[in-house]
Amino acid sequence: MSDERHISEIEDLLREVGAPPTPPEHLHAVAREAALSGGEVIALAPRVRPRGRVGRLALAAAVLTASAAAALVIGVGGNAIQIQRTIHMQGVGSASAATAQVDFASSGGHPVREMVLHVDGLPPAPNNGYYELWMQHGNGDPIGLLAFDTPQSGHVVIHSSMPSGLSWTKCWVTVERPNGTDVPVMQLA
Amino acid sequence: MGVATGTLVAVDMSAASDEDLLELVARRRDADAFEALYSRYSRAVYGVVRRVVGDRGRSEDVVQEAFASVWRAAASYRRERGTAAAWLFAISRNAAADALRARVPAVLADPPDQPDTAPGPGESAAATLEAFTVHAAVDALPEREREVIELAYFEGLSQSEVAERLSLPLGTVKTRTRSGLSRLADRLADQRVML
Repeated sequence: MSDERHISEIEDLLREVGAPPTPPEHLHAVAREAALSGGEVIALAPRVRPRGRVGRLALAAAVLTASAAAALVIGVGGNAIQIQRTIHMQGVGSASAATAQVDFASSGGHPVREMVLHVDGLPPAPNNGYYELWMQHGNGDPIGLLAFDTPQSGHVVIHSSMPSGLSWTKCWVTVERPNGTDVPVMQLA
Repeated sequence: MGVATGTLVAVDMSAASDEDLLELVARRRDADAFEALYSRYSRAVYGVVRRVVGDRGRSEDVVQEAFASVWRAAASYRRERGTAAAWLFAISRNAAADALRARVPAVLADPPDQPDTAPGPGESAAATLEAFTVHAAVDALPEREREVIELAYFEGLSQSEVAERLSLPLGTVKTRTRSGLSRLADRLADQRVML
């Protein structure tokens, strides 16, 4: 085949396949994290805690919606917040003994709602790293809600807050490294 | 390129072949090699996944899974069985197919009254492979050649318009275009896209 004909075929081929779709910028950091931190995801299966006497409300295990307006508001003795929803998390892999509970307060009509993270049995993050709690709604961008570490006891309680309008369908905790990429991996909505 | 073990070896990732990069990922768990593979193949992989999966958000999840598979399974790559590009294509296609299987409803629809005129599975798969290979080859071009090729053939600009867009002499655009096309021809011949 002549060079000219060969070049002409390449030109036809380029026009035929067209431009590739451009991956969103955030995907690079997310894909890198997903690959290089493989096996270090602490939990990925949130479940709704049965609410005592109303525990008959057996909600789907992997699907949570913060917008459950019908959720009961439960007062907890000794805790200043009014818990509207709680999720439990279970460690996996090397952190399988770890458990966590996240309590979300009623917004009370305010733009932010309080949240409290209780962690047990989770060893301090390895390699000078730290843990991060993420949430994601559907296929939207994951949102990093809280960075934390644990002492040697593996137990920590952290009070924080989140936007009241934030809803999610998945949540998980990852190990983050301080010398990771400079590119912001996630951002608040 | 041999991969030394037990010594520190500086590797120029930009000059390393795809196959070398995969071996670095497999043997040394080299994050820089992984980054280089991502840079070279992210658009091609994303393109394959979008073709198969369609939905943008779901495609992003699948691309994550595909590159996580590259990191996990790099040791399974064997040069004698084919190119790294073909291996990466298979990883991408399989990840996309897994995603599709996961969302297929367990309800069978009635057969349509009219025959489907869309490309069959074989034609569609061939077109997907062809697009993947071409896109990866374009992304492997030197930047100055890639930009003129993309403007001319993906955006449909004339060479004069490319020259104006890039503020380059027309002769330079023609030289870079020709050089880029020749390089693509060589690479695609290696990948057996062009006979």
